[in-house]
Amino acid sequence: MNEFEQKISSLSKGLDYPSTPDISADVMKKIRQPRFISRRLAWSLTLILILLVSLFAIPPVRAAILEFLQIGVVRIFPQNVQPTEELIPTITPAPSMIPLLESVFGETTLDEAKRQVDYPILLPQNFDEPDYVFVQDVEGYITILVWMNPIQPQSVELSLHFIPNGNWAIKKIQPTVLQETSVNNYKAVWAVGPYPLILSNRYEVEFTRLIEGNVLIWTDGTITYRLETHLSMEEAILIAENLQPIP
Amino acid sequence: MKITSAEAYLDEITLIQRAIHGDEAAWEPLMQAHQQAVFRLCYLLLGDPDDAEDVAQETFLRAWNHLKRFDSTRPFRPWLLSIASNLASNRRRSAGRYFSALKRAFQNEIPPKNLEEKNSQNNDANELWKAVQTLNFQDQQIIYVRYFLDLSVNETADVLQIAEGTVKSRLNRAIEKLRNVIQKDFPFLSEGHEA
Repeated sequence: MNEFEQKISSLSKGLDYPSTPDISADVMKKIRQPRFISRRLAWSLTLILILLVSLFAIPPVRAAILEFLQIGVVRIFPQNVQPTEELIPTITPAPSMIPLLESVFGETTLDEAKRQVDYPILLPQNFDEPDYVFVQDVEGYITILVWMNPIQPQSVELSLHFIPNGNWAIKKIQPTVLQETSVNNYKAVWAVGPYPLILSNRYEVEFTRLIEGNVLIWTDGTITYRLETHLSMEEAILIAENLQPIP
Repeated sequence: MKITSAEAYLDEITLIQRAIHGDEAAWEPLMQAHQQAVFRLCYLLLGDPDDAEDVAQETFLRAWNHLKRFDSTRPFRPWLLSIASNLASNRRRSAGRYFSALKRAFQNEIPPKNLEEKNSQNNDANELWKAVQTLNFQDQQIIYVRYFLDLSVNETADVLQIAEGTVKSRLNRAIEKLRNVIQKDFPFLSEGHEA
């Protein structure tokens, strides 16, 4: 440590922290609680299941319930489909994405990400290595690769998410335009328009959206891929179908 | 008989092994041993004791649920702090946090008793904290773990799940930014102590 670091370290020791609450007692209560709750929950779930099965027997109800698309871990609930608005080019410069990227947790390098996750990280052909790499442990390692726009270095050109199957799901996506398509014969969805993304596991986590553009989502059965881009659907599919493992 | 740190470490390994096999009683002393560090990191990252307590609790619940994924050849505290840091990062971005901040803003209108006196005693440390809070989240994270909580470079690498070399380069960058902030907005912190 140099002198400045020593000073920081020594000054920080004077910080007046609030007294630490008895966290262990509360956690122990919660750890011991589920056994009791789970029996009650089991009964409730059984009743709900019986109710759902009965409802499924009624054709119009069944149709309403099935009105969502499931791609890997992503469940998409379309809104009432709005007519597509033609995008009018604007001269207003796009806001810088750099501060947002700096707030995303889990930044790492491609080599470290490769070591950390147990699935192959794929890269688009004819692209350099990503400008940003993130690996986030959200009950399963999600990898996010980000390429900045070489012409507008403050804006994101492309982002690619690798989301392994886990005990959680992304839900509540409400794009304005939704189109079913395929990537290497796997079912895929093309979504256009701004929409919120909520990653749901034990509690809800906001999922950072990097491009106000289009998203191609597909799965190969074990990984769900999410490609955010300003490109057209055809170009996005071309990129998706030609992803290559890191050499 | 005096308990050495090696004995305490062995005890910790035994407790972890028992907890991995579902022994709840072994989990309690482990939490007690680390709850202060976890709570303090959450407090530093979130700036609110209630938020910090929530996230610290969630950290231990999550750690308990995922204990089988812990590599028991590695130190335990950095693993817990890593979970805490990720959860705090999520909490900072969540909508609930803005409501807490709003609530806090109202609460802060009435200064607690003796706060002024306490503040003067710890003024420099609090000003340093304010200076660190102007940095981005990643820089704050590394400074808190390395200097405020006094973890080694190796342990910091474990917390942030990055290589030691990356810790060193990120620390250099973060410290440089902090130095500039201090020189510009908190000059009294560096008076007579400039490195």
